[in-house]
Amino acid sequence: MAFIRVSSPHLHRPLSTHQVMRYVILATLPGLAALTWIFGWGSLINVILASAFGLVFEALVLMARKRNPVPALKDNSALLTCVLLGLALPPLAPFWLVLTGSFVAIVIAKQLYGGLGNNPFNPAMVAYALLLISFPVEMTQWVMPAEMLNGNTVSLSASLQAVFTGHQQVADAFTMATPLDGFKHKGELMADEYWRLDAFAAEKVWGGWAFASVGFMVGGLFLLWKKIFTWHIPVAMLGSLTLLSAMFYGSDPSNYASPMVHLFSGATMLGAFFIATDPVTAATSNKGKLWFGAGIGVLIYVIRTWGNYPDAVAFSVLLMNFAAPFIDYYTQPRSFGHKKARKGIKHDA
Amino acid sequence: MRKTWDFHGGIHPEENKHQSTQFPIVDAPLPNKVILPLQQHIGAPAEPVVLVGEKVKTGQLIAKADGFISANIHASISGTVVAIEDHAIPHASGMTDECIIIESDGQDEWVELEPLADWESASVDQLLNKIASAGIVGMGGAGFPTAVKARTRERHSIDTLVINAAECEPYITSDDMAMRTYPEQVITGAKILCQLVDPSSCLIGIEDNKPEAIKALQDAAKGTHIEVVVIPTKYPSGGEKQLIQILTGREVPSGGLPADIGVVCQNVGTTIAIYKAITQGEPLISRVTTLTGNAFNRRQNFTVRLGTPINELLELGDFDQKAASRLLMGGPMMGFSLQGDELPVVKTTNCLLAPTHDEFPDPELENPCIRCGMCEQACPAELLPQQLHWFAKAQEFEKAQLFNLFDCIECGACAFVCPSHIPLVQYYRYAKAEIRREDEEAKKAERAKIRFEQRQARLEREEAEKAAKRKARMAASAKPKTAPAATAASATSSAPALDEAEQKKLKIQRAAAAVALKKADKALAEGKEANADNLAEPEQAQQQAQQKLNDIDSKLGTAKPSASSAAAPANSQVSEEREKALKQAKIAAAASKAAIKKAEKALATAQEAGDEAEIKAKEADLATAKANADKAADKLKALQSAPAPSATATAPTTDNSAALAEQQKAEHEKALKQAKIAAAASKAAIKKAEKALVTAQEAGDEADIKAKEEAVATAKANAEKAADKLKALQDTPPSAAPSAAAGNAAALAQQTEQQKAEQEKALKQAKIAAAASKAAIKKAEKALTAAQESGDASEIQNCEQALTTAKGKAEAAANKLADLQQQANATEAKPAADTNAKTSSSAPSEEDTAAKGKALKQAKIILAATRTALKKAEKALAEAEQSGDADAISEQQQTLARCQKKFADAEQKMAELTGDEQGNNTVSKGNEADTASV
Ligand code: SF4
Ligand code: SF4
Repeated sequence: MAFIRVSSPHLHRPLSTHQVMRYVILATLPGLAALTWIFGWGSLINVILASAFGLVFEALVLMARKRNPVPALKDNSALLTCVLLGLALPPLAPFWLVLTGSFVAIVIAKQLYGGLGNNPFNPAMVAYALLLISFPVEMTQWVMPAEMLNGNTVSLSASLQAVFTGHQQVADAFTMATPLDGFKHKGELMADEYWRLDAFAAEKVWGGWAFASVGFMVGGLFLLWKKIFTWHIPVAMLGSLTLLSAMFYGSDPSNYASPMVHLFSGATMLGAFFIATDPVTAATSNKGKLWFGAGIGVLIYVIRTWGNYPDAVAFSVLLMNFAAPFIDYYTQPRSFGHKKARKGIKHDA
Repeated sequence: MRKTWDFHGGIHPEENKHQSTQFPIVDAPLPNKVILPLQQHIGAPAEPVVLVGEKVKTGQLIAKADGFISANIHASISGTVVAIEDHAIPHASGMTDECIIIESDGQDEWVELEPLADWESASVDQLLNKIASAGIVGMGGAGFPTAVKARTRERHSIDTLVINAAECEPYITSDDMAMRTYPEQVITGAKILCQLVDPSSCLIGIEDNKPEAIKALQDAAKGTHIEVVVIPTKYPSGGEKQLIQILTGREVPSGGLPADIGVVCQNVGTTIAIYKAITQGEPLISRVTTLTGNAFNRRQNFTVRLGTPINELLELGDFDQKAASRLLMGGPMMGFSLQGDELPVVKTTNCLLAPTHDEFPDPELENPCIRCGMCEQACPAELLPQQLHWFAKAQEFEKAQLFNLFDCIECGACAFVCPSHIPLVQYYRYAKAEIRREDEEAKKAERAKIRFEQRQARLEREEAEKAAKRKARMAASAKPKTAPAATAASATSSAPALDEAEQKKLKIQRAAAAVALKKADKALAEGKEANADNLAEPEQAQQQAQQKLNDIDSKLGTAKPSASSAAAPANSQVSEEREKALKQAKIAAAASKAAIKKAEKALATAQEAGDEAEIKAKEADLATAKANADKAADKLKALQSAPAPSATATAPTTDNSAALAEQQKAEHEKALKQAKIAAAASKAAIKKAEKALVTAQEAGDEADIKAKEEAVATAKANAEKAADKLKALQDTPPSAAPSAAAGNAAALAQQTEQQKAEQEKALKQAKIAAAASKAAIKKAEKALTAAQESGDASEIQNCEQALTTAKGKAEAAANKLADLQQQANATEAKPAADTNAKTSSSAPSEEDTAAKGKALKQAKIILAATRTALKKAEKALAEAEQSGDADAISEQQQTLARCQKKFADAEQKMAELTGDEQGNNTVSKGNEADTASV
């Protein structure tokens, strides 16, 4: 033993960043399984492709920045970003879409901002938003649930074919608009008319989405239990979304979608537990997290209902990422022994 | 059950307490020698009262408390005092301090102990005296003198006494075992404290992981009003503020004391020590210390004599050096690592922890913060640890303070949970130390400045008064001569002449007073700007100066009319015109000064912005402004030095040659002044060029460096020319004022001037060399970091080598620079002293002051230089520590020690200089005493 100088504390909880990331990745598995079960191989292929691309990009950028890529690759953060991106992209998306997405997420949204911990915006959502704006057609074609295809999902080989050769026939044969998209474009139809339009399909589609959402919720609850993040963001986000949709649905059920539709379709659950809770880009204090989450919920509702895009998780999260530093400044906790919390950026003595 | 509260955050590290509770407390064998640091407590170190060679008995007082917050030290064994010297002490920084070393005679012969047999009827003062004389300090943590704390009742109303028995740190069991073994002592000690503090309730807070101790205490406390409150186990519930919140629900205000909310808190170990001191008369000479960690084969609690060297305890605990990963004093959360085993056990040593590599593996690499907020969830002080970390890292200390850095109790909970393994507490300690240092410096500088300026003002005032007296005397003696030669008019003008002399005197006094007022104003403004808390002093000075000025003005006002009425009407007209011109000139001078200031400010902003073109433009502006100012000053001077019309009225017939000489002198003075200005300008040019050179060197642009070097050379040549001219002018004093003494002085001045010039040249070169070496270091450091990042081992080594050579060079350069500066000081001080002695007619004190001011300035520069070196060394050390390279660490530690030494020297010198000045300054002495006590 050498008499070395080590600063206290000398003990450390056995939980490291890479383990945190690993827990989060593991927690996406129920959701991924559900997606695969319902929509076929597409999502799984997305996740694998995105991860592979993402890791390669991460290594290349780090080498270009003259840094050792090994520690960064080991911290699982790039992997997590790409897994989330893969989950968010529509199944059977062409491979170049995934490639572009991974590039934007890792190279532009993460590393160009200085790497892990320094990126102000959620990388997966930056990539998603960019793809949605640039390739709206590809990004809004979602595979039909298995039950609509008589219990058969698209076969693996057909899926691969669709992904890599962009075989439009395969894609077209199996894809449709998402329920949120459909509802948005129901035109002059009343809500119940819309649902009745093709009751069978609606139920199937709706059921499939709900199933996947529950999968993500289970994973999120596991993370909560593991104390990887606190309850504040998911609860605030789902709460505000529920409240708003219930209010409008209550006042005019024929024109507005029910809270259940909002909560259990689209990327709501994925967003609430996996995207909005990304610590790097969220607000930090508990109070701040409540504002942050609530803001996302409100924005999702507003964009979904009155905006141009059917789903709005990505935009809402990015907008609130933008507001996070501001929120942080105004929601500092009251420190022990102080009468009140400090607010704002001003140097009040 | 009593209601308890919870505190925010906290963590649950593995307790690991059972290892050391398997066996009862036993007495450690008597040490062969003890090392007793004079400061084992917060406050002033104790004053030794024994001599080397003296025989002492166990329990004998060997060092007396020095001051209100201090504590006695007693011999913990009988034997001979073998040394009173600096010795390594247990401290996080691994520093040394003065210790009394006693070699045991093996007898353990005690002094006569004097218990307070009937303490229940003893007075508060008796009890306090007993506790104070026993040298008892808080034994849980910081070691605050207990008697002082127990006295808080005199100033606060206390309703709750809290006995801290939480012992929340993992591994440590000294309090636990002491409570199990001596519960009555704890309770009796608590009763004594109750008698002292007179609270309405006395609560013993204990974590629920110590069932045996709880039982023992509850049994012992039966029938008393002392309440044992069991609290849930959570780190850091044993933190004073946290425990008080748990037990009373009250928060100790930030920056306040528990007494502010009616609570006094004492540790159990302290309680036992109080019991021993009161009922047995035994001073604090031993304590219970836990030896634990798997590298000890014998993990147990021992009663250890204070001062026992740690190596004797290591032997006692059958320490396995190979297995140990480090050696800690204190617990794993807040303890510090020891850098040797020659250190003694002190009053606050509750645990020696020797973990194996399995228990405490080497710290993991620091990853980027992912803002996960886990630290914030864990922080008992409800801070934002991640923000504080950002600020500390970016050296934004002001912001860190705004985010309540100083409410951090360094509990380590945040670093414990941080998944990125960021050594957060280390960052906070660094930031706190930096802030304290900066504060300290700012205060010191402010104090020095005020003192300096006050003294300057006083000297000028005195000088002016003296000069006025001289003039008056001269005028008085000149009158008898003029009177007979004068015509009838002179008979009437003799009275006004007196008035004139008076008036002149008053005018001079007024000028001096105006200067003093200006200075005082400035001091006040600066004080205000710096937010100094001690503004009364400059304010007073300012008011006094103003008062004086007013007095003189009123006198002058009454004197003037009488003078002008007595003088010929023509003269009065001339004088009026002249006055007007003078006024205009003065205004012009002031305006030009303001213009300079403005230009300077603009330049500074431009420099900050770094816009080259802009800087040049501003520089040009500044130059013109300065030229204008010079012109204005010249004009003003000319006007002022031109013989006053009132003077010509009386003296035209007296002495023509005198007037001629006066004129000559004035011209000469003008030339001299211009030469001086030129010299100063050229010096400034050199400085600028040097600065540019340094920047160029830092940027590493070869071509640029060359160009800049040339610029420096030309600037120097110019400067030399200017200096030559100046010298020549100074050598040929105006014929009007030649005197033997002045001639001597001039010759001497010339000599020293030459010397000085040479020295200055050498100094400059040394400075350049120092700057260059600094740049080299920076470059090497940069290369090193790059290499470290690239992870190429051989490259790193190369770079490290380069860095060390660069550092060596830098040190050599710095040394040389310091030497030269010292020399320069010496030569400058000497001629000043000489001239003082030789020429009584010149202004000795002024020159003296100037020399001293210069010396002070240089001392300040040296101080600053060493300080930067120190800072760098500290940083390098921190980096080395983080990299965990033992060699590098030891090397850096050495460097640091060297730097610290140098810094101390520099500070000493500075203190001497300022102290010197203070000694001269009788006016501000009282003030000084005030600030010193603050
Ligand atoms: S625990 Fe560590 S990684 Fe997480 S926010 Fe705090 S400092 Fe950053
Ligand atoms: S060390 Fe300071 S910042 Fe960290 S948890 Fe403790 S009190 Fe909070």
